[in-house]
Amino acid sequence: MPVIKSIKGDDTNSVFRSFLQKLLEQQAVNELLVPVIAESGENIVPTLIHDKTALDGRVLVAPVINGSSATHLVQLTEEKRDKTIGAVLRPCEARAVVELVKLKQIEPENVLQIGTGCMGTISIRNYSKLIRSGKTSDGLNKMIMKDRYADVEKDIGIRESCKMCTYRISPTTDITVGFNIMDKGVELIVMSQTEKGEGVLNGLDLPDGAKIDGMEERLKEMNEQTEKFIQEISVELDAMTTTQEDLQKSMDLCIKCFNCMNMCPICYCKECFFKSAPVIPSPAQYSKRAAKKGSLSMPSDKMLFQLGRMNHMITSCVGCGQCLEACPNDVDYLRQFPYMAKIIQKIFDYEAGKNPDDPLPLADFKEDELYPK
Amino acid sequence: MSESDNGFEPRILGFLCNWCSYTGADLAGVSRLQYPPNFIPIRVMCSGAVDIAFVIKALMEGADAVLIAGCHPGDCHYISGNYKARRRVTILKSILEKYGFDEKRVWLRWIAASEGPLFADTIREMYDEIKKLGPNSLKRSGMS
Repeated sequence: MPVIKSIKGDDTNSVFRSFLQKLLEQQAVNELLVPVIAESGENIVPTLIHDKTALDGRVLVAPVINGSSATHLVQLTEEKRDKTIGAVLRPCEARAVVELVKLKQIEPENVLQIGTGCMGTISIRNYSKLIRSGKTSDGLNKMIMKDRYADVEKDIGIRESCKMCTYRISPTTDITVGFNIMDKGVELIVMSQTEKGEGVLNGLDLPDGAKIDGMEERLKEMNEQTEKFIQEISVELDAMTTTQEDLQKSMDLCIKCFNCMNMCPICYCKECFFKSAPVIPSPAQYSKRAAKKGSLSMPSDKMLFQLGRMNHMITSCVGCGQCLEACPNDVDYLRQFPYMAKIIQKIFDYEAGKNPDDPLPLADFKEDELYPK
Repeated sequence: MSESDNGFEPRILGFLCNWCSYTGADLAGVSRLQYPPNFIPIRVMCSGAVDIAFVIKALMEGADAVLIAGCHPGDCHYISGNYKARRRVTILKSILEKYGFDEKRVWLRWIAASEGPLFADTIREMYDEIKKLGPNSLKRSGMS
């Protein structure tokens, strides 16, 4: 049975803040990795919090994501230390963590994963604009929580990858938190999902809580909406790339800045294969290739990089859309990743980040499968 | 000459595993079996050691088809390399197909060290098939 605790307060920020401060205060964790709204108010920044006072008055709940915190956890757990880090993760980040643990890039032992519910996020570029135009993080939160599919998306532009995401909560984190918006004030429901989470919550001096009534039905309803959206968008994405010309059109925009690879939580290689010597031509090779083909578009090997990267990481792609966020030219090809991930992972009956016990498709096999037998 | 003679001579690149398929190709050679000379073999230690990026690179840089050949299931020198190659090739083919490529240009076959005739047959079969398909459009000018 999961341990459920409750914190009541005036607004979403204050209850979440007091929960996180309690974790630090009672030394359940030594540090917190949590996205905090910057002082300018226009951006959200993943921040490593040491003193609980650093959270005083700061805004923590906003429908915007700035890079995947999973990549920071790779760096923070690179060496074994005796500090416990509490990491606040959205479902896509938590799922990336699951994959990175399997890929042996994150050591989860000293990490307390705190999953937050997620109704979708706005592109960081849009978010700044919205704040400058007078919207508030709280107002945006309420808009998205109320209805993430109706008119809101036209006004504020929830990211496409978020609209395609079927994860409203993180299924694997140690602790999951959710808000119960009441007529007067807000209740934060904190629930354990693992033994580690159970231990931490039992040690916290907090009143017991209960599951929110009708939550499962609501989540189901939302997922039905999501499935409908996926079907609609799949038709569009499918039509976008059915020929090599379509793909080349995307590649013509690619400047091979490697932003997509750098921001991808799954792309963990210290040196990318596509930046390594075997694929970087020498000056003579450039000439030879241009002579052979008649012409060579520069930078060379964009398609090799893009198709190759997809082949390398698609079985672990969590569809977070950080690649598209990072792309300076909005290369349409990157929109395909969440869609292709679903198709490819289905072949192996796998869903990235869903279950820590499912082996990685590329590291596993069945004797009797696929072709040739 | 095959019946589908259209004057096109395909270039076929092959990644052959050291323990089975390369030895099989060797056997085809010492047995003096005839097969089209359009095949360019590359010896690799295991079919599971072939990075799919090299297959894509080959297709973009002049190969009309790529063969990956390894030990039969259960016979891999490294126990499971061939099974892993099979998964990777399946992913590659699904992706290529999605983007309008002819996935028939990528072949995965199991050829044992004793199967010289099977090796020669495979190359002949591949030659005929690819000759019918014509040149690979990926290697044309402008694609990069």
